Amino acid sequence: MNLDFFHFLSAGGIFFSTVFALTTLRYQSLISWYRFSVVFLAVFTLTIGIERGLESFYIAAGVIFVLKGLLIPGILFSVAQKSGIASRLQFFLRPASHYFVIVLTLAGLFWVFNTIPFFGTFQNGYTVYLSLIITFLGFLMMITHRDILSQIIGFLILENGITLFSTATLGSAPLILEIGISFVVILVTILMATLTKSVQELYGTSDTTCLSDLME
Amino acid sequence: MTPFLLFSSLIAFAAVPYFPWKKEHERTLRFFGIGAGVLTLVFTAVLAVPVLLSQQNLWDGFWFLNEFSAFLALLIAFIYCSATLVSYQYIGHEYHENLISFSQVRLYYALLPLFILAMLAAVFSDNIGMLWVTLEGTTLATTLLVAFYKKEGALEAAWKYILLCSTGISLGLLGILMINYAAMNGGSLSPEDALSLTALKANAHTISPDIMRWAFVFIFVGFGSKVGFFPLHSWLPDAHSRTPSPISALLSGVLLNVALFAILQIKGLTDLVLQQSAWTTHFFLVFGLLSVLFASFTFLTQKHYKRLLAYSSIKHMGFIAFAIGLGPLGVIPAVLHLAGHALTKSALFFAAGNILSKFKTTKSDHIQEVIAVLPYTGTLFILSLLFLLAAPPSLLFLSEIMVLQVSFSAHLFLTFLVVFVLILVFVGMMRHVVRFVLRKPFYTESQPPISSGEKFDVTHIVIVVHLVLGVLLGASFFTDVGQGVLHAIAQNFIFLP
Repeated sequence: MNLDFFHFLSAGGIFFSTVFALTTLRYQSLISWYRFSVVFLAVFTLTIGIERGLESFYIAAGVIFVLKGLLIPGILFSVAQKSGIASRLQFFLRPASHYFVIVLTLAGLFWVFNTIPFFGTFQNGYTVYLSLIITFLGFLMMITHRDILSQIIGFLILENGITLFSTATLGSAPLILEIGISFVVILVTILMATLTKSVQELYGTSDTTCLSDLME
Repeated sequence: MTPFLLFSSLIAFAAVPYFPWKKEHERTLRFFGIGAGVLTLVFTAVLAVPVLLSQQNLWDGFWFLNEFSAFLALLIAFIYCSATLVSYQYIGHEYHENLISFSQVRLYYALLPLFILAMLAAVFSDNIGMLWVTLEGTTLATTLLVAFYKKEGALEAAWKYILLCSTGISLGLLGILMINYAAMNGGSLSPEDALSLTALKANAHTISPDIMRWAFVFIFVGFGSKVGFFPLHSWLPDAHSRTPSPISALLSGVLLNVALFAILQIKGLTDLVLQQSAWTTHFFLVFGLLSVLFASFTFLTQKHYKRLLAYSSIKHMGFIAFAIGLGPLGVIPAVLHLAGHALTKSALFFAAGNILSKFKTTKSDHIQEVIAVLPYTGTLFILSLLFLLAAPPSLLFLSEIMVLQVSFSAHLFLTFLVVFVLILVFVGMMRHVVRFVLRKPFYTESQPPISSGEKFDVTHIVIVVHLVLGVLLGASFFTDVGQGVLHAIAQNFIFLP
């Protein structure tokens, strides 16, 4: 087994855990699948670091694992349990229908990737393609899921796609950006979790369709 | 004074409310808020005024202050100072009416300096990574202020705000990473230099134009959501209308300008890489025009006066973008419009805060004869509105005339369209506001009469100062010094081949 095997394994792992997160029915498994995708992202970062001989990537992999793999899921589990959020997730689009949209996304982005010359300018082409897919799937989750926790995870998956893009394309990401992104992601998660708790307390549900007082 | 000292002082101001204060010290906390506002204005002026007058940039390797960022920093600090003066009365009133608790007062005075810190750091930053972090920082600092009242509408607004803005800004991050990649691969810059605007501009010829184009698209769309460009605006009317009024003034008056500043920084770099400005200005022209049209038609149907003001911000930001989209000649009026809108809109939100405190509602239909109940506020509200609608001698009158002059020679049809919309907005907005400011009272059992009369207080003084300053800025345009400063500001985002 060489490094390429681990590359493909971790990249595939990120993709499939994202797909399962998108189609799962309960928040416990949603957070778990998100955690798996983060673990694969950390492994991917580590293998890139080994391949390029960059020690900073080992630290980045560790930070990804601790912050996104342990801390953020911990915060989300804690808020969900304390505020008594219903286990079953709410959807605008049926979970099974997501597979159809995912296949369309893969095909559409594959076409875009091979048509627009811009994408050819990147090294690690397949990872850039994958990062765009993950980013899009994050968007998709924010749109097709009705409950707040799924929308938070959707945002975090989108952010995972961007991290994957950054890891795959940049030889070594500047420290200020790494620290800044980690700091921002943690704070956004804490704020969103705080709002989740308040919404659950006020409305007795985490379904975002109840947030429609200001609709015009 | 250095940027680092200014930022340190703001962090200290944010920490003070969490000292072991007791509830009886609530008034002291509000006084302290004013002190923080005044000191920030003084510190910022010490940094920014020499840059504006001497027209020599300040650069310490990480922070960068040119004429445009110095001008914006002064605007931020000035409106912050005004907001703290108005907050003294506004927050005090809400606290004594038991609408908010002491912990909310603490939260308010802790988050306010952090919000200002994020905005000032954004305009001072030479590092595009830091620019992204600080822009997201403005969202983080204000989310809890949008959710401040913890009611249904406030939570909904806060949720939309953090979700849409954070998602938008994440797209901007993708654009920044693309620039970073292009600079490191094409120009062989170090990872740190590949984020420095100064280094990027010096090495613009080595950056791939293909990647730069896409990066600009991602950044324009991403940061554009924070500016409130149509169709990425949906968070804006909700967030701006649900926060305490002094915060609404800062959100509408300066935050949108800071987000626009971030896009303009990247526009400058993109123009250098592409060796032309036509490609980027098209984005401003199209999105600016769409925002003006959408906001103008939508806000005529509004029933809440704070939402009306928020929609008007989308229109004005669209107008500024439209002016920038007209090319180099539109830049000076865009800068004037930016300043005029910031001063006038914040004055209107301060007055709206007084109306809300008295009538306890933002629904225009539930308010009667403001001019009789609150004579000073009512008069100043109408006056500020006239200034916002570009009635002379407002600064916006000058900027709109200048924009239309430029537009007339470049895009005749678009000019007529914009003029039509401006007239429509003038009539619609005056009709809406005059109705609730002057309408005779109707009393029912559920709506007892509201006691009339008010003293000329600090909020009124602040509003008058804002309006007068706007007029003086307009007048300064006709002086040599004013012209010099304005041209120097405009030079910072005009592409010169």
